Amino acid sequence: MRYVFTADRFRLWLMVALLAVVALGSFWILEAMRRNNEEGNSRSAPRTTPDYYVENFNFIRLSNNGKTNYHIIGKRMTHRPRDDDYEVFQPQINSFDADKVPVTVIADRAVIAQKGAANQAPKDSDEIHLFGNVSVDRPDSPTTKRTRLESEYLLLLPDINIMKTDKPVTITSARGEVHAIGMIVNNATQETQLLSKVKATFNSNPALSRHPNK
Amino acid sequence: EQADRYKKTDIEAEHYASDDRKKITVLTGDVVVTRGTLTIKSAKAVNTETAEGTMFVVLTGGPGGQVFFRQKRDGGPDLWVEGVASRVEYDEKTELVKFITKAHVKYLENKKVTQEQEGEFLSYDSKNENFIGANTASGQSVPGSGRIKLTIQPKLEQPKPEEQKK
Repeated sequence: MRYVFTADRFRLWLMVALLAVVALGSFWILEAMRRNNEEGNSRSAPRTTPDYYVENFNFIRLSNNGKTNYHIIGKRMTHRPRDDDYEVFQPQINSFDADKVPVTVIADRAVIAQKGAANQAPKDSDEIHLFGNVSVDRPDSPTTKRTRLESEYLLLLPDINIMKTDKPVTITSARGEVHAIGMIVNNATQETQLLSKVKATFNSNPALSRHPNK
Repeated sequence: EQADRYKKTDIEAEHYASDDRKKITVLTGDVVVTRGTLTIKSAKAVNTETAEGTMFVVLTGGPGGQVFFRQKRDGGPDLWVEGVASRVEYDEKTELVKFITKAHVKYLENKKVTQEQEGEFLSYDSKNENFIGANTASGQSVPGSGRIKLTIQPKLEQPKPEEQKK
């Protein structure tokens, strides 16, 4: 019996063809969606441009016992997601040293890398890198005289109370002026180390002229 | 020299470490202290601020090195005192300079040594310009524990015999 391509056979084959198209089509849509999705999350990879910024702010960092550890006042702070750090323009940092003497730090620019920053190596302290016309002022206190420190770069480690730089630094106080290259200051124990090329000038001692016991 | 008292002090060193609480400053690495005509060179200087705010400095020479001290004396255009010792103590308030162990102090007039002292302990009071020598590092004179050598150069020039004959 010859195979007869009758009308109903035709309709049957048409149905099969339709079904095939639907099956293939859905497969094709699934594929398109998957590819789109994959390309989607690659687009959200950590971007280098800042993702948010804050203007005219006061950033207060609380130490674990809830007391203010340090606070930063600035014109503008931008968050940089790639390193999860903050760039601050015209920062002013106020903190207190061990004897509750207020220390004021001013600079052109600061980069704050917090110890808990994402995808960064764990650090034992926040890092505040200060760049350009850095100055640290400590007013008179019962234990120490007023001192002012100036440098082009300074690294603050507030959680362990250390300030350090490898750049030239100038320290002026009532008694005189000291220039050096490289410095490490431990505010907790109030120890200052100047690492090289130290040149100090002390003006004549006021204590002497008060009672010239000739 | 008296005027040094009211002059500013310049200190140069390689390394500086200060503890503001204990008010102690340690300078190391060819330390040069200059104040008016006073010059002190040493390898290490430990400066302690006294209660009244004056400085008490202990200078020690490097390994085998000695501390060098030089200051102009009043009463003449070119009167100087120069001294070396393993350890020098300088008290800003009393202006007493103590040369301790292997001390050797020379008095110069117009670049010529007029007087020389050697001993274990020599102290020079630059304010009253008086001078003490002792034969132990502690400053007391213990009999039999060493000599002090005092050499005073003659003031007069001995005429050269040959020149007179010519």
